Amino acid sequence: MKVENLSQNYVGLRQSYRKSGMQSALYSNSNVNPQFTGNYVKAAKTGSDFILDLIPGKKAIEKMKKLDVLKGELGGILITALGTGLVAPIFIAYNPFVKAPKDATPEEKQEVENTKQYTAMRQPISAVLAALFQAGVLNPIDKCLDKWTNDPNYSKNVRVDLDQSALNKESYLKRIKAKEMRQEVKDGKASYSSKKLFEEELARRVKQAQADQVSDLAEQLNKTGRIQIGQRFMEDKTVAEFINKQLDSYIKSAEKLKVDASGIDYDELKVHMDKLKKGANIDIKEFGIDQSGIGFYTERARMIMQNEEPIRRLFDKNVLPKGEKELEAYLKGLLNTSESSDMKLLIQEVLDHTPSVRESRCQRTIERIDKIKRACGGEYSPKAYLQSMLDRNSEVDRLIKSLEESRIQDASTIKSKGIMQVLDDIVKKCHFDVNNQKLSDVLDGSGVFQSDKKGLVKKVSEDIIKQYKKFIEKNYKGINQITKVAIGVGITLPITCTALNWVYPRLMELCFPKLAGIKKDKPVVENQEGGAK
Amino acid sequence: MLSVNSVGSKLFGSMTKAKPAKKLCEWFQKDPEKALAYSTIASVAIKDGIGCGMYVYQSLHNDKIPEERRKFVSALDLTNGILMIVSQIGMFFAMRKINDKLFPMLFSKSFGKKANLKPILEQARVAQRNAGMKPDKKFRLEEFYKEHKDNCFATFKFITELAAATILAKRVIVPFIATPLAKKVEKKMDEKSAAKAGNAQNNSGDKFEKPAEVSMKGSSGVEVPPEQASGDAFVSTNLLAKYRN
Repeated sequence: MKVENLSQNYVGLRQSYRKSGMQSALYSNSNVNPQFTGNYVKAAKTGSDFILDLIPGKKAIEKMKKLDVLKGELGGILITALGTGLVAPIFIAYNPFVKAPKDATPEEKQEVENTKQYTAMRQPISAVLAALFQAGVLNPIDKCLDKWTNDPNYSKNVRVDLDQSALNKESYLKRIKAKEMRQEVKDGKASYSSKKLFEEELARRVKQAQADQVSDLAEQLNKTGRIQIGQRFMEDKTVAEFINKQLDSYIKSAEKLKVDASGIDYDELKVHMDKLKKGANIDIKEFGIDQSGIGFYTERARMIMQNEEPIRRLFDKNVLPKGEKELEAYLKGLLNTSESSDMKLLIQEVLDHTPSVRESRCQRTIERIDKIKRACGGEYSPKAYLQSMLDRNSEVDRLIKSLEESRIQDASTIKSKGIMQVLDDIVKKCHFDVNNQKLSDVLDGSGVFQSDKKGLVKKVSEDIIKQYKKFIEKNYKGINQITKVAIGVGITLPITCTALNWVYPRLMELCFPKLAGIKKDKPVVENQEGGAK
Repeated sequence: MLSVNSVGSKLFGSMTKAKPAKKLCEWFQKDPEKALAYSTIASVAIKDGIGCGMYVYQSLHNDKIPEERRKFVSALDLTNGILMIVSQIGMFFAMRKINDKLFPMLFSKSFGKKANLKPILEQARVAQRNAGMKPDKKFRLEEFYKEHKDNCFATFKFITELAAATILAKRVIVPFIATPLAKKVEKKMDEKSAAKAGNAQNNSGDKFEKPAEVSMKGSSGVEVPPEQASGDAFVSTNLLAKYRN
């Protein structure tokens, strides 16, 4: 079908988009067809995507990601087939231990060689058949299990913790949405000028549907304290376990908000210092290196605050040259002309960063001046700053302790009302006042604590639903794998073996009559071998 | 009306409610990557085990093999099968240990010692800021980095462990161990049976003709039955076929 342009009814999409409150998380799409004026949305780049873009060897990582599909029975079959088809023939045909007796005639030796080759040829045939029958059956198994665990008409028959009808599996959603889109094209309601556009729209719809499902379940969890799947509910005990797991994750993240030595890269600092040592003769001990980390940050604050004026003047956004090369030359010039050892170290640290982030480093140094001042309650003093760090740590400790107190001690006895109370409690503990600048500096951007209470209610319950999602996905993985192994061993393996015994002699006679011809005087035995060895 | 899906889902549903299925799910809950890898290598071993079992069964119940030689033939098949299974499982676990060192070596730029996380995090924050987003805290970005590393490592582990087992152990190492091992076993058993046959001949005449020299299925299905060496044109791919001649 020739698809000319994209003209899609996005009313439903817009509604669900608004409903899920995802505006902030979504970008508008620059590839949108100009004819379309609605909220044509594209999932925003997450922090994870930003990181992936920057990791060296991204291509190799992406390739590994693609190979992810091999994890499981499919990988077992294909990798085994690879060995059988490509490696085994070499080691059979050139096995030095299999040879004709020393006193054998040249004809006898030739026959041994022919036999080795004849046997070696069995392996690729076996591999192709294994891939055809054993791997070929996996996709129908997946489709079947997807239907039985995602379609509410059938998923009611499986265990509730395997029922994915409330939170569909991605592959199932893809099939459903693709069918829906093809129907729209057929009915003339939509058209796509290329397969790529179709795929992009499909990916968007799948992401949207997943977000909506999580959002719906989260809303329901907030209202009822339960996770409802069709007519059934997840056990309260299991929901309580999800909450405890999520709390553990929050606590783990909160721990990282404390000031400690973990954020200091002493090796890196030593590199900066070594670079300067020749000219400036700086002693590393001057920089408050200690095990707690507090000494380091106190010393760092002193260094920055004592040089506030030159930092603000030299690192000013309007003063810094725009190009990366120009900036490097500018910073190197500063390094040579600066007389202060503190400034030398700060400039060296900026220079040791990747060129693309040097400007940002300069800005961050200025920002740190303001942060230090806020931490000290206005004016910087070493004592006040030290106290602010100690206060920060004790505040984070207090938050952690209060989150620990929210843990459900006896999950087996809790009821839905109790769950609702715990959820409410967690929201209160994760909320902070945006006007409290000191706390805001510490907690904002942590991913755990938020100032927007309404958003937090949604976030906490969605986090719990994501725990539920992980839980059913793991269960499904186990059942899917064992089903495939059972069908492979019980059905497709014998079929493959029978097919091999039928195909192999016939194909050899057809394609390699010279090798197979030597057997014409005797019929080929239909052996009943097991295993596609 | 009953449909295939309706009946199938009911059968499947009752299977999922059985105790072993629940235990299996618990196993996958604890460590899904490990459970997946173990169940896959178990599947490979089971399939080879079934193959080996069928060889042994056929050898033991084949009338065309002289009764005195059946145990010998089946013992060789069994040895080969066990060797194959044990070596694959052994190689799988060996690779599991090696992988902890191999992965950072191969992905040194991305996840090994050469990988410098600090500038990556810094750049990500700058990129987020440039995209109009509030940058994540560094530890959050570090978690994303770890997530990529863990996912990449899990896939790498699965593939290399399985490749080591099913390619290196089964297709390269086993054939080289199996063939000489078979020859040794064969020689010993031949000596024994020859001595036995000699005694029997002395006692009651020549009751059975010693079969042609038995060759073990050396390199994954390779046998060069001695009849080829002695001019017999028929080529077989297993011991059973040889004895049928």
